[in-house]
Amino acid sequence: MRIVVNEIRKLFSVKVILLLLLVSFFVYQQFIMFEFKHFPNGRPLLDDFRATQKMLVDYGESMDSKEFQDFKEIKEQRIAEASKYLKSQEEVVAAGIDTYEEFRNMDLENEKLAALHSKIIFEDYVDVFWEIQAREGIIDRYEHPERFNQHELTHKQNARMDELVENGSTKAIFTDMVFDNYNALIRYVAILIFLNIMIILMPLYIRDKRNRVQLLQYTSKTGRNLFSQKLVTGISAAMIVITAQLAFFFFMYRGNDTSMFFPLSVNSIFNFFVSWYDLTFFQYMVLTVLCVYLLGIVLVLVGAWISSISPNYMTSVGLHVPLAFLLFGTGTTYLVQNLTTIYLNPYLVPISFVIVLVLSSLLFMWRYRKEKVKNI
Amino acid sequence: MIKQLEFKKIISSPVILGLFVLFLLFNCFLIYQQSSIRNDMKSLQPIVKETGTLMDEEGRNKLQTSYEKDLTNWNQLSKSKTGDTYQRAVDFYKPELYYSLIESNIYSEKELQNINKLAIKETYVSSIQEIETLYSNLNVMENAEEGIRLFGLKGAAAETVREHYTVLKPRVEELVQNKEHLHLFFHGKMFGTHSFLFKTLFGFMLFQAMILIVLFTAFIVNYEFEHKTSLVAYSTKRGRNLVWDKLLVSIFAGTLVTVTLLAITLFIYFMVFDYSGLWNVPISSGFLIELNNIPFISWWNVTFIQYLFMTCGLVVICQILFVLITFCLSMLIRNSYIVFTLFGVIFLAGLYIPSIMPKDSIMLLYTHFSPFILVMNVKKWWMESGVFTTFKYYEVMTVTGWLVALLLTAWFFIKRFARENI
Repeated sequence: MRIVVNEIRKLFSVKVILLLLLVSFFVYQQFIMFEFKHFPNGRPLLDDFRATQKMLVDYGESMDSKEFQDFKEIKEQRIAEASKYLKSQEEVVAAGIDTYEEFRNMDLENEKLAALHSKIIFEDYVDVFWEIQAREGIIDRYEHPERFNQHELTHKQNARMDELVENGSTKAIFTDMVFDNYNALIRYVAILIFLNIMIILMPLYIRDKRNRVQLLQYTSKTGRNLFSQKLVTGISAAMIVITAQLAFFFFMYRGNDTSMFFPLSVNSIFNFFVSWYDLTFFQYMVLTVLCVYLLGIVLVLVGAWISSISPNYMTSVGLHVPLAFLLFGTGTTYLVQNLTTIYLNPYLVPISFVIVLVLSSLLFMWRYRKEKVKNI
Repeated sequence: MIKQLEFKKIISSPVILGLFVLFLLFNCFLIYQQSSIRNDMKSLQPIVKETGTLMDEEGRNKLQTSYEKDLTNWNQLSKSKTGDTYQRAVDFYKPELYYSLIESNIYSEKELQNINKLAIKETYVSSIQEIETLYSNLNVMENAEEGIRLFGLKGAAAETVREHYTVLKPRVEELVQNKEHLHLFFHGKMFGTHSFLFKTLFGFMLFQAMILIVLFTAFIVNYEFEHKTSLVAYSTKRGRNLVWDKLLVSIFAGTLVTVTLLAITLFIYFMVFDYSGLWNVPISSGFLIELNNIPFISWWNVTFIQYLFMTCGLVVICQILFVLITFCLSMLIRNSYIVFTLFGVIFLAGLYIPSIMPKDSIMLLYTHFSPFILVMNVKKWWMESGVFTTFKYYEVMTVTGWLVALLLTAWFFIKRFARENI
């Protein structure tokens, strides 16, 4: 245990921590902050988000047909407000438009009318017009749950879709904005975490080799056990990094103010994502976090293997390049994002995890056996 | 002799060679993925043979007559087969008719190919008018204003952007007068060759060469320190001059790696995609315009082949800059993997700094003169490239400025190293 603690201390030197902070800062600035700052990204998404939040407050977690009537009525009220606004605008009345219907069906080929339209919508940003648009989108989706079957699906997928409509999870007041935003974020965060693990674990075995202390170590009693203890070190270090990064991320994520969506089903009609399982948004988040931890362990095993076979840092970094390419690209696409999506085989994620975990452990075990009897 | 041995350290390293081969295979894979359009692209060559590339009054008439002749031929055939005639070749592909035609096997494979070729020819014919209208209505000053508004530029920065675009204006007039925009080239909206070659492929090659370069430069500069032979090596008379050899060998090897990577990948690319007869088409051709409808306006009247070589040259120089940056970092930090990570951090910082500059300051434009921003936008090199980098000698200025500064820094580090305590 004492050895592991000391090894961890060696890995987290001040220099490396500074480096990690620098890398994290720039990755946050370049890729992650955007999703925080611009959420929801522009209009009418903002209005959509506001309407959804209001729905949650008014109707609870899902919307039944009575509440839907109420929702439609609010839209009619907004249309009345919009008409009132139009009547109060001299220019608009002069152009012969005084109800929302007329405004809606205005001939936009006509330059004068088009200018009026863009003035109200894009220059003055009159809220009520944007809100009507957003509400219409929500109504449309609610009235057409059959959009689920637009894709060409297999029998099994169709059955799952029908089941969702039947058990009512499609009626949850969720929104695709929250889901897509989280999906994009967690991918970048996962990449950042993997990058951090790579940087920390690079010297795991190389440093001792480079400093020629293995001659001393391997002739002592603890000696060759050091090899497996260093793996424990690596895994603990990775856990520390993953936990710290995720803690910081979820602290930042609180600013997006999406906590009211946590207990809602991700299979809602208002979300494009459909899962094989009845997950709530919170459960889905837990699942992604779990996958990040598991991938982190795989990365530690492969990274430790690379570190133990490389004679120098150049080889080690060089071998990490294709690994990073695979992990950041394919790895995050299938094993961090869109988990349990209906468009992929339900067994893909668990089987891939079993395969990569077994393969990377075998790789390390093979090296471990060799290290036990190696001539130094 | 020393230089040879240093060089041997690089090329005898299995990881460098392995990565190099892996990168090449990856590029081949990219080209393979794109290769499905090669047959459709090929139908341009017969047209060019018939009419030449320039679509002035004469060329256009030739193309029009040839197209009409083909269409009449096709209509005769289709009339005899199904009784239909077509106003335009694309009508053949209307879904309500097309699928039943294909299912009933009325047309042979050869005939289907013919109508496909004819439809492509038709696209070229109909594009000419579009291009003419686009260029006659083109006002670069409006583009500048649009960009200024979009990015919220103010004050001195906005003024400078306007100045640069004013310089571009006569060039656009010259371009239209030379009829550079009316040369036939692979249709951008159909094939997107420019983006694939200069954005995807060149983008990947730049990063691949950069990874290799940073790896081996950091490796050989700190070789003695990593192998604990520095005390011996640097205490001899020749000793500290060794860094000169290392610098020169890094630059040489960097150039070699880049040139080989470019040469092999581009060779494969041009083997797969036939560019014969089109090498001398001006790069500002309106046919290159892609789906975003933004014309390519080069600062000089250069042909495709010239543009290709200019771009390759600039890629090599950029890589030399990366060698120098890595060299300077390695002289400061004697640990190659930290150098590698720091290089990445500096790269990201180079992209980040312009975004924190005030929108009205001229510094905002100056911070764009960096190799990191330069390599992110190969597609628009030597061209009008958005408000921040549209400046006649942007590319040349950036690389010369950085080259001089980095050479001086490297020289300073070498001098300092000569009397450093080790």
